[in-house]
Parts: sequence; structure tokens; C-alpha cells
Amino acid sequence: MQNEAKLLSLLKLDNSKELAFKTLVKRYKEKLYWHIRKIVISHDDADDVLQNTFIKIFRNIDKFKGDSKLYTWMYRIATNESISFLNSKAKRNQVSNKTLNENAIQNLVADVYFEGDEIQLKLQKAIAQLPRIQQLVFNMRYFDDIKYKDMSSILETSEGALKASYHIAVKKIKTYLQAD
Amino acid sequence: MSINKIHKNSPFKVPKEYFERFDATFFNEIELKTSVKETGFKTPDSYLNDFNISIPKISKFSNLRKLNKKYSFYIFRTAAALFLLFMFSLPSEDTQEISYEILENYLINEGNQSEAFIDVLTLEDLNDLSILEVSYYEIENYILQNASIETLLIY
Repeated sequence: MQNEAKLLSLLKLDNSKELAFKTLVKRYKEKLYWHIRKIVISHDDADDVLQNTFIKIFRNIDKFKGDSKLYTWMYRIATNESISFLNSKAKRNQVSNKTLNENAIQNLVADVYFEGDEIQLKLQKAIAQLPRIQQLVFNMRYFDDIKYKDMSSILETSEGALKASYHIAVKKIKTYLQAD
Repeated sequence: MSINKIHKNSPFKVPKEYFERFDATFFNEIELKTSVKETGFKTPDSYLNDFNISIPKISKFSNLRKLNKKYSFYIFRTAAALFLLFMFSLPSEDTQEISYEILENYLINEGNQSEAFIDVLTLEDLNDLSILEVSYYEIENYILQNASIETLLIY
């Protein structure tokens, strides 16, 4: 936390901004990449969104007032960038978001950057059936073990609602996996 | 005093069906995690090690923008006056059609002066905009294509 505050102060000074930003990228690139990847599914898309996310962070760091943790603020930008990216892609391909999501999962079978087994593929299919908010909550809790408090700050939703979403998501996924 | 009695008299409460939900989520999660823990996604070799961001050089540009902002109001008004003078001096039958096209191009190429526009527009002008036939669907599409959700959510 103290490191984060120090990094933040360096990010706001003109003479240390670039170096501090490089440290920030080094520290958070992996976490943000995997968070984005689980939303957009394909590696190439995740790479694009990760680049955009960091550029947006760089451009807006001066406006970050410290109302939340730096990392939850960055996760929020990454989440919104990912969703925005998917919406634009759906629009460009003239398909619904649901179809786009289903196509992405279908493409996983032939994706060289997916080495999941049958159950992992089935899990991704199950996640794709969920509404967007449940997908986000499930991925953040199940795979990344993010605390509800932090998730609440990232998704700007109450902790109670997030817990309920996770509960429903787990139940639906279990039912989906047991159905086949 | 038994533990149950202590709980019955306790002033603390839990959300409705908390314990039932806790059990269900906990056991479902455990069951799921025994069969699958990872996503199965991978990255190209050493992608994350080599990942780098070329930091956008904005210092010179931002100085230029500050300068432009200072004079943008006057520049915009002069440009608009010259533009109107030019348009009205053209004796053409297609004036109306051409002016829309030129205006549109002007706004696309030079229209990044939203603050100047806002300054110039009066409340009456803004009310007049309501006669434009733009459907909610078109507005929604425009926002979806152009507005940044991150900006809308954060600011």
C-alpha cells in the first residue's frame, strides 16, 4: 500500500512519470492481462485491450484522486476497456454481444493459445452462457480470488449484489456442467 | 447457558438465507474446483516478459492544445464568419446541398472545438436542435461507437 502511494506520487511528477509508469506496467501487466483475457477470450484482442488500458492509465493518472486503490482503479479501466472493445467488435461484425461471445468460445477449439482440456473448454462455454456481470464476478472470484470489497470498487456494485451474483453463477455453471 | 441460547438472544443478525447460501456456494465451488481450476488460456512464448508500452509523447501536443484553447473561441468565430461570407457570396442553385456537405466536412476535420461550439450556442439554439430527426437508436449507436465507457463511468 505504501509502495502504491509512493509510486502514485512519482507518477504525478513530470520528471519521474515515465520511469514510474514503466514500473507500474511491469508490476501490473500480468494481472491485468489475465483479467482482460478472460473477458475478451482471444490473445490478440487481449493484447490490443491491454495496450489501450495502459495508455488510458497513463493519460488519466493525473486525474486519479486516490478515492480507491490504484489497482482497483486500473482494473476498472481494464474492465471498461474490454467491454467497450467487445461492444465495438460486435457492432463492427454486425452481431449481438451474445453471438460474439459464443463465436469466441467456438474459436477456442482451434486457438493455438488455448491448451485447455475438455472440462476447461466446457467451463468456458458455461461461463459464456452467463449474463455479463455474472461472468465478470465469476472470473474475478473463482480464478483470481479477488475480494468482494475490491470487486465492489472495480464494478461499482454493492458487495451484497456481487455475492448474490457469484452464488447464482456458481449454481448455473454447476448445473450446466452436470447437464452433459 | 448453551451456545444456541446465546445466539437466540444475540442482537446481531445475518442477511436472509445467509447460511443456506453460504453452504450452497461453498460446496458448489469446492466441487467445481476439484474438477477444474485453471482457464486453459496461454500466451505466446515470453509475451508477458517482452510486453512493453510505447509511452505516448503528448507534452508538445498538449502545449499546442493549450495555446489553441486560449484563442479557439476567436479563431472559431472568425472562421465561421469567413465561412458564412463565402457561402452567401456564392450564387449557386445547389447552395443548400453544398453547404451541408462543406459544413459536415468542416465539422469532421476542424470540429474538435466543442468548447467553442458550446460558447457560441445559446439556449434557443439548443432548443432548436430538438427538431432534428435523430432516433434514440441512432443516438445509442453513436454513443456505443464513440463514447468511452470508462470516461462515462469514472467521471
